[in-house]
Amino acid sequence: MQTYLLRRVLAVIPVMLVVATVTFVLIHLAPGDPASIIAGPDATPENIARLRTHLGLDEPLPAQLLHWYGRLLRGDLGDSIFLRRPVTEAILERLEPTLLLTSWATLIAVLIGVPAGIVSARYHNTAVDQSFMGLALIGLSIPNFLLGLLMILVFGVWLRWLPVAGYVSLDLGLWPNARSLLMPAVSLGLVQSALIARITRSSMLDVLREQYILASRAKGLAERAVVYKHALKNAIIPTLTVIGITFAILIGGAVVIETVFNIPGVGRLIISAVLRRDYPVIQGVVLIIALTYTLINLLVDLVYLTLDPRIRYQ
Amino acid sequence: MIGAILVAINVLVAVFAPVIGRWEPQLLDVKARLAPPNPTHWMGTDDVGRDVWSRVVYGTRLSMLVGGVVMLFSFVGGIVFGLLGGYYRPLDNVLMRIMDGFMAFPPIILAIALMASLGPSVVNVIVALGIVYVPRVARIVRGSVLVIRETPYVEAALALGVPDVTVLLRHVLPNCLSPVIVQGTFIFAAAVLGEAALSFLGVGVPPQIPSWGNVLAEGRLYLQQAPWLTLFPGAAIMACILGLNLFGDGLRDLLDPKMQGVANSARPS
Repeated sequence: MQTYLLRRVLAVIPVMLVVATVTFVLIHLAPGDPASIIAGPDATPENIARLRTHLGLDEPLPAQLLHWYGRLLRGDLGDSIFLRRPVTEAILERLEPTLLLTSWATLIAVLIGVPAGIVSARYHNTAVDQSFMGLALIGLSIPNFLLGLLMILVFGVWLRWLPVAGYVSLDLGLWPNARSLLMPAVSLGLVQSALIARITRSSMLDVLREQYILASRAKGLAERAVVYKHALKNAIIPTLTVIGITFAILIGGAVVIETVFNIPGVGRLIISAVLRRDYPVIQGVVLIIALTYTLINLLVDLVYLTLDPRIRYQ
Repeated sequence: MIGAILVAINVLVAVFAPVIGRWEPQLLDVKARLAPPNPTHWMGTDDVGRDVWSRVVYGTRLSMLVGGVVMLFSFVGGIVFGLLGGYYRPLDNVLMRIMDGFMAFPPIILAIALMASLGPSVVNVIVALGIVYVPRVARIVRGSVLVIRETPYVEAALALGVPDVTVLLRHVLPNCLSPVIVQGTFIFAAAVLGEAALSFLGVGVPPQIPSWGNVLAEGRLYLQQAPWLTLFPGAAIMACILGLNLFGDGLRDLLDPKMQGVANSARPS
């Protein structure tokens, strides 16, 4: 158990090493000299040369890579070329909308997906099951940004129930904030709820075929008790993994949804950075998201470990 | 069955785009800017007067191209790395750590980052999405290889002095293909969605090239005046992805009966 725990935690190190290397390579993958890209099209040759020395770009690549690792360990992501300020600052400032959007979307995905999956499994092969699974399949076939556009069209343009786009900061009150995030969170979460429903259903069905379920039915337990008390406990474990990863997956989705709804979050930041070729910002955002993604995965594995004793003793 | 039909329709539209399209996708009908659907322009026109029907039809062609090539790209890369990793233990550790590293990025984020470096073009979209999905195929292949290399027939082949390459290609590879093929349809769908998302964000294929994502990006700006710019390409994407998902589910039940009912469909962006 302890060795597994240790191994699992240590496994994060090589992953982060690869992540750091990939983000380092990004800027060197771009056609042209990184210094002239960073300096911009109007820079004089002297400026570019000065920048090259300043950024250490005249050093050999392995030395540059080592410096990059060193800077990352100190939490230094460099300065944005366009915004002329530290990348970490720019990201921190944009974190609130992205985190709130992702959290709401995760909540929506779970609140819809888990009950739908349980009910589908309980009424396996009935009209209820088939219509839920049909809906889930359609849900998996709509890209989240398209769902967002359609929701704007219906609820924003036609019915005028909700603002078509924009973000109201949490400082201005919980309700206005939640209202501005309602459509983005639903369009992000609904698609994911389809996946959660499918996984919950199939793991419920697996568990319902187990001997101990047969036994509990045989001793005359009510179907309700069998499903919710005995089956659910074991069936929920794979679902929990997916729920954990859901948050991580939705961070990726948030990048796209923020563009649809004009939300000034980390996603807008990276997209505008790509359009301006602001490489330090791109690298910074990509790194932070990959780090979050990895840590959440680690956390999910550790939770899994405490929930399922079978894994603990392997 | 419905899945196969939807996929077939998409492929046919892609192949016969010049016949079905009716208009040149780049042609500007300046007098009919933002025209609603009408007998001349079945799906209306966009803000510079380009025919939406034609752009959706050519968009199908682009999506099929991107989906197909990304799938092949990820197959080739994934099979090479998966075979090497699964078969040669020392390599396995290094290769799989690298694959884990790549999988630590959410797919769309890695694709955006790669597009930032490569620059917008159709080829680069394919390369970026291909790189995103190679590790996922590699993991599947490696998993199968680990099992297959322990089987008696591989041991027998090795005992007979068959060279490693032959064992890998003739005995191991064919037996680990069916999960890869099943995964292929989902990668195809994910690549179609990926291209649409990248183009929608303005970091995919250049805006003048007809693509579902590009039309949707324009449509977002004219949602109020011209909802047809959103509705038609949106319907095309949904039909395509639904078809691929159904097709993939069917294929999985056919090739891999053990996996029946396990949710595994394409993850949009």
